Amino acid sequence: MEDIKIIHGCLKNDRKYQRILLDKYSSALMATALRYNCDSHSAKDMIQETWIKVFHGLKAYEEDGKLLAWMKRILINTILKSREKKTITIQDLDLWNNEIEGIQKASDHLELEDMMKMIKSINSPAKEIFMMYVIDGFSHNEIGELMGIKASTSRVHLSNARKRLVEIIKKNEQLTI
Amino acid sequence: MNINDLEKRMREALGGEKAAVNTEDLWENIQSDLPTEQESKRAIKWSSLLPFLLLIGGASAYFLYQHGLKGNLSNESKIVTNINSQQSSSEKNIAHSFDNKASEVKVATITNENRSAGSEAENESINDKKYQIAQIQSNPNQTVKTLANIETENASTYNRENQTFSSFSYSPVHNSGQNVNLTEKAESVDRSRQNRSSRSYSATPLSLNSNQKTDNLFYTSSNDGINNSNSLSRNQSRAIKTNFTNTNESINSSNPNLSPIAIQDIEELLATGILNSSPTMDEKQPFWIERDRLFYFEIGSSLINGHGQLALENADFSSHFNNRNAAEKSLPSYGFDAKIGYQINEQFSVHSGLIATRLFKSSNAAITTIEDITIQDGLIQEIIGSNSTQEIRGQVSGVRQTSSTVKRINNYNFIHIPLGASYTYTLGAVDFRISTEARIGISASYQGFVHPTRTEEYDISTDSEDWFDKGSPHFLSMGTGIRYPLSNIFSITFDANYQYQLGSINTNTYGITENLSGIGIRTGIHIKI
Repeated sequence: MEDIKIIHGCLKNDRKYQRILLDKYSSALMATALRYNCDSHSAKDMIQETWIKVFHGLKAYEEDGKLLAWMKRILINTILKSREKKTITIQDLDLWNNEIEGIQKASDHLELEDMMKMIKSINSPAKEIFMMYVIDGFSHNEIGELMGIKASTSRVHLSNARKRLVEIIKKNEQLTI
Repeated sequence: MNINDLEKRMREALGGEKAAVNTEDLWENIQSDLPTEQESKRAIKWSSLLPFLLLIGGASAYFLYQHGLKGNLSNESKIVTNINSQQSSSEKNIAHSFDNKASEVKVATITNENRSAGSEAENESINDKKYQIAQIQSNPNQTVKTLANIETENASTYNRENQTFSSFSYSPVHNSGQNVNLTEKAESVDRSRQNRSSRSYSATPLSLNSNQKTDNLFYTSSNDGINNSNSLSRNQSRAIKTNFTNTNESINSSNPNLSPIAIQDIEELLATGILNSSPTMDEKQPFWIERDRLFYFEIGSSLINGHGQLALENADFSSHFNNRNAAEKSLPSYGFDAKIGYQINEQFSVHSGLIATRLFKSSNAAITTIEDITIQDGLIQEIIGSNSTQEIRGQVSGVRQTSSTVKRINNYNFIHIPLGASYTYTLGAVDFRISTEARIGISASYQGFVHPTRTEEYDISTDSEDWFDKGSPHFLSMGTGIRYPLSNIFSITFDANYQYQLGSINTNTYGITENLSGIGIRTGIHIKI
């Protein structure tokens, strides 16, 4: 069933369409929640809260064909809010963990699990910003709004995350030679 | 592999990633928090019924007025000519004449003595209807006018050949109990030429010679100045009786045909049913062309003082955010409107159009620059913002900081379609009017919001789309004021307005359901078209 039809049904608070929407996108939202460092239990809580927000706020959704992206945005926003965050300053950044275990492959042969390990080795908030920008397609302005930081700060974090990944790539290439 | 390639692979691998989740559990857990179908249906139902209720109310008031007030007018105060029997058989008639070529304002006096004399002399009853006859002496041109007091306010003629309507309305006013002031308004519409015009006549107290005959009636009608001036002499009246046709013959003071219609003629007309019987559909003057100007256009601007006490509903929230939620609380708004109206009759009109409203940004809504922040254990103990643009937060304590930047509420804009009705009462040179309307929200937008802080208690979203509900709430509005005519076309208006918001901007997001209201003024220009 097309999203547009489901949305119109949901806007009428038709339970049938709400359930269809939930079934259709919950697994994608779950994967996103897990990616943002949620354990399975808290991820489920986040998704529940997200769905409630989605169904209450669906009228605010502009039908631009990016429904999943819109819901992911709400989910990520919910996740970020749920965390106790300290002031984000560039100076405070301890860029990343030094230890990465289990990745000793050439970068061309990296699997999904390896990629996640690489991403998780980046410290917050650079990790979240990297995922939001690279994987979820947010702009720096959007990231700034979501995280309550300046867009320029977001760019700095992204740059640091990339440095970290480059370092990992180089390290792996040395190991596999 | 370079970083770009790695990112591309990550995007492909992780972007479409899915993970198993028990949707049955999810559904069970969220169902109780979902909006109910009944709520949305109820809201739709009431909002859609509103304009219809207004229209029904307006129509009821109009018909009550039309049928109620007329029946209460006393016999003695009514003077009318009704040759083509626009009125029902229970109404009485008046014949009236004036010189069409003379000035449009006639001055005449009916003395008490002569009225009495006329009444005594001709106190006859025709079909249980009283009428009075008095002779009118108008201007020095010695055109003899005869007036009969009969009990309807309107007179009209219909010329089938020219499709021309002519009508009169009279508003007799007793003057100190001695004399009678007559005001007369003649209006006509030339349907064939799609022209409408009118001119007004007034008759102030007129004097009669006691020896003048009072047993004659004279009728004349006036067209609109575009076409012909119609007067009906005795013979012409008879022509009406037989043919129901206006001869469109113009007469003046020198016209020898200006002979009065005898009472017997009226009796004949009554007997044949022309005067008293209801006209056929063809002959009846349609109500929609009774007036000179059918439509009007009005543009205006308004200033409303505030929108109620939202903070009371959410006091703790407000204390943390120091009027930050003032988007709905005590914020003045200003608006511009353009309305087009249809004049149902002299008193009632209906209108619609477009209203654009903008809420002023709150003077305390936000800060643009944080000047000082004291943070302890991740919680803001004190935050002070710039007041250079009167956008100072002041101090907030005990809340969590998530941002080093601050946005401010700029403005919140609505666009509404009004559906309304007005009642106008003319007193002297000023029209007093009462109007009411329902404003159907069709659009809303906002620019920016404030999110320098969050609280654990209220979990304020940093997402601007969560800050307000999107969607424009409906309004009810009432106003009363004056319309002062500058010319036949232009008037200026001043109204006091009260408006009532049928929904909160934040109903869904924060569960705030208080209906907000505001009082203000509106000024505008009223143009008859």
